[in-house]
Amino acid sequence: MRPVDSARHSASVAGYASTSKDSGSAPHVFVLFARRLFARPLPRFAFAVLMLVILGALLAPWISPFDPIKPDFSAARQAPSSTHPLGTDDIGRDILSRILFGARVSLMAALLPLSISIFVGVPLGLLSGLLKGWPDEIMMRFLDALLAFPRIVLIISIAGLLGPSLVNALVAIGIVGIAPLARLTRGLTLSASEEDYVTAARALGSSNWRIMIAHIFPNITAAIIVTVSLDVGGIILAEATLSFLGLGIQPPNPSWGSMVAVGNRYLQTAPWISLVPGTAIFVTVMSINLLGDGLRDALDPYLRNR
Amino acid sequence: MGRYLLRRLILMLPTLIIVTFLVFALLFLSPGDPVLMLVPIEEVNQLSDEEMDQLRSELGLDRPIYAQYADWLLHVLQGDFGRSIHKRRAVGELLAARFPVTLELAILSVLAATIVAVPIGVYTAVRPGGIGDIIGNIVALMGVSAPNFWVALLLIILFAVQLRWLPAGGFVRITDNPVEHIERMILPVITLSTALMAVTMRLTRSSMLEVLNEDYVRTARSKGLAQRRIVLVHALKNALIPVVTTVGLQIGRILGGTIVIEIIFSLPGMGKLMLDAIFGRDFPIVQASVLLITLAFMGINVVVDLTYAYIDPRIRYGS
Repeated sequence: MRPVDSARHSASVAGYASTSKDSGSAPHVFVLFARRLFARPLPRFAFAVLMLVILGALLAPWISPFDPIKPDFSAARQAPSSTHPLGTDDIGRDILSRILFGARVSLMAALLPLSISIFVGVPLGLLSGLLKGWPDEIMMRFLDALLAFPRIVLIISIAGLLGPSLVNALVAIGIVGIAPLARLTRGLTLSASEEDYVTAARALGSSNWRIMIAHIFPNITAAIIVTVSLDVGGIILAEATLSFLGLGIQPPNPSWGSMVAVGNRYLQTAPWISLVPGTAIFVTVMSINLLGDGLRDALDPYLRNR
Repeated sequence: MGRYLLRRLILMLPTLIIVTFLVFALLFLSPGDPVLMLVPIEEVNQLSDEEMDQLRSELGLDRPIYAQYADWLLHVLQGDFGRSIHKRRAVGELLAARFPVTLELAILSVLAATIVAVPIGVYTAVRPGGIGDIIGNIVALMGVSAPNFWVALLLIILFAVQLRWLPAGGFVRITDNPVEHIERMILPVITLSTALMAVTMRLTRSSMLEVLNEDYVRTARSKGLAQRRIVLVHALKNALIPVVTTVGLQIGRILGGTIVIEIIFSLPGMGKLMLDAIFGRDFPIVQASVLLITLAFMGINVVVDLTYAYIDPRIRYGS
C-alpha cells in the first residue's frame, strides 16, 4: 500500500461513523474500508466461506436435496454417497439437508443474543460512563458480580431454568453478554468524555443526552464493532454447546450442536454423523474469527503489528 | 502481603453479596411457582390449596425476599446447601463427592496448557515470521475456533476407536487403580486444554515480542549475554506477567468447559451433577453448583493477583 493511500485510509476510518452520510466525489468510506479489509487473502477466504454459509441458510428450503426432518429408516446411518453426499443420520435423514437448515439456527444464534447484549449493554455503559458518581458505582459493582460467574456456567443455568428451548438458550446467551459489553462501552465512554469535543459540546450547552447520542456514541462505534465481531464466534459456539447438551434446540429440528450430540452414540459405526456438523461449526467459527481479526486490523492501524 | 490480602478480600465483599444474591434469585427465574423448584412435582400435585399454602410457609416462601435470602445465606455459610429434591441427600454431601473430580480436571488442564503453550509462545516470538511462528498462529486460531465437544469426539475416534490406545470414557478412582485413573484423564485433559493452550500461546508470543524490544534487553545484549540467557532469564520473567492474568481468567472457562467434557467422557464431576440436576429440575443442586464453581473461580483470581507480587518485584502490595 502506498504511503499517501494509507494516510488517507486511516484518516477516513478514524472518522468512519461520522462521515458515513457524506456523499462527496471521493470513494465512500465503506469502499475504502472494504478495500483494506480484503487486501489480504485470509479475510477474503473467511468472507467467502461465511457468504456460502449465509447463502446455504437462506436458500435451504430450495436447495436441500431431502426433507431435513422426515425420517427414512430404510436409509439409516448410510456413509456418504452420491445420493447423500454427507451421509445419513441415525434415522436416515440426509445430513447435507440438515446442515443447510442447521445453518439457519447458527445464524439466528449469532443475531438474537448479540442484539440483546448490544441494545441493553451499550446504553447501560454509555449512561454509566457519562453520569459517573453513584449510578456508575452501583452499576460497576453489579457488572463485577455478573462477570465473576464463569460465562458458560451462567448461560447453562439460566437456559436450563428457563426451560430447554432454542429461544431460551439464545436469550440466556444474550443476557450473559450484556455485562462485558456494558463494561467495554463504559470504559470507552469514560475516555471519550475527556476529549476536547465533549468539553466543547458541553460549553455550547449540550445536554448529557445529546452529548451521549450525537458525540460520544458515533466515536466509540468502531471499537464496539470490533469487539462484537470478535465475540460472534464465541456466541455461535455457546449455542452449539447448549444444543449439544440438549438445552437448546429441541428435536426433530436440526442445529449443528444437536446433530453432533446424536452422532455421539455412533462414533464406532457411523462417525460422519458427528464429524460433519462438528466440522461445519469449526469452519464457520474459524472464518468468523479470521474476519474479526481482519476487521480489527482494518479499523485500527495501530494494532496491525501486534 | 497479609494486608493486601485482607484489603482484597474486603473489596470482594460487595461482589460476593451480589453474586450470592443472584444465585439465590435463580429460584425465581424459572417460570411457574418456586414451590415446584423445591419439592418433587408428584408431591405437589397431590396437595390441596391449603396444604400448598402450608408448604409454602414451611419453606419460607411467603416471607419477604430479603429475609429468605438472609436465611439461605446463613445456612450456606454453615455449609448447608439444602437437600436434593430427588436424591434425598444433603446437597453438600453430593458436592463434596463430585467437586474433587472437576477440580482435578481443571488443574491438570491448566497445567498441561501452560507447560505446552509457554515454550511454544517463546519459541515463536524469538523467530517472528518464521515457519514455526506461522504454524503456531494457525494452530492457535484453530484451537480457539474448535468447539470442545468436537475436539473430544475427534480424540475419541482417533485414540479410542481407531488406535485403541486409551479408553473412550468412564472413571476409576485414583485410590482404586492409579494407572487406569490417569489413562481415563488423558483425553478429557487434552480436550479441555486446547482452547486455553491457543490463547496462552498467542499471548506469550505477543508479550514476549514486546519485552524483547525493551531497553533492559538491549542492555543485556550489549553486555554480551547469550541469547538463550536473555530470553529465558531476563525477558521471560516480565513477559509472563500478562500471561498469568489471562490464564487466571481462563480458568473460569475451563471450569465451565468441564460441564461438557464430563458429559462426553462420563466423569462423575460437578458439571455432570449440575446438568443432571437441570434436567431433573433439582434446584438446590443447580444453585449450589453454580455458587461453588463461581466461588472457586473468584478464589483463583485472588491467588492469581497474589502471584503477581512474586513474579513482578515492581509491584509491592500493602506497602
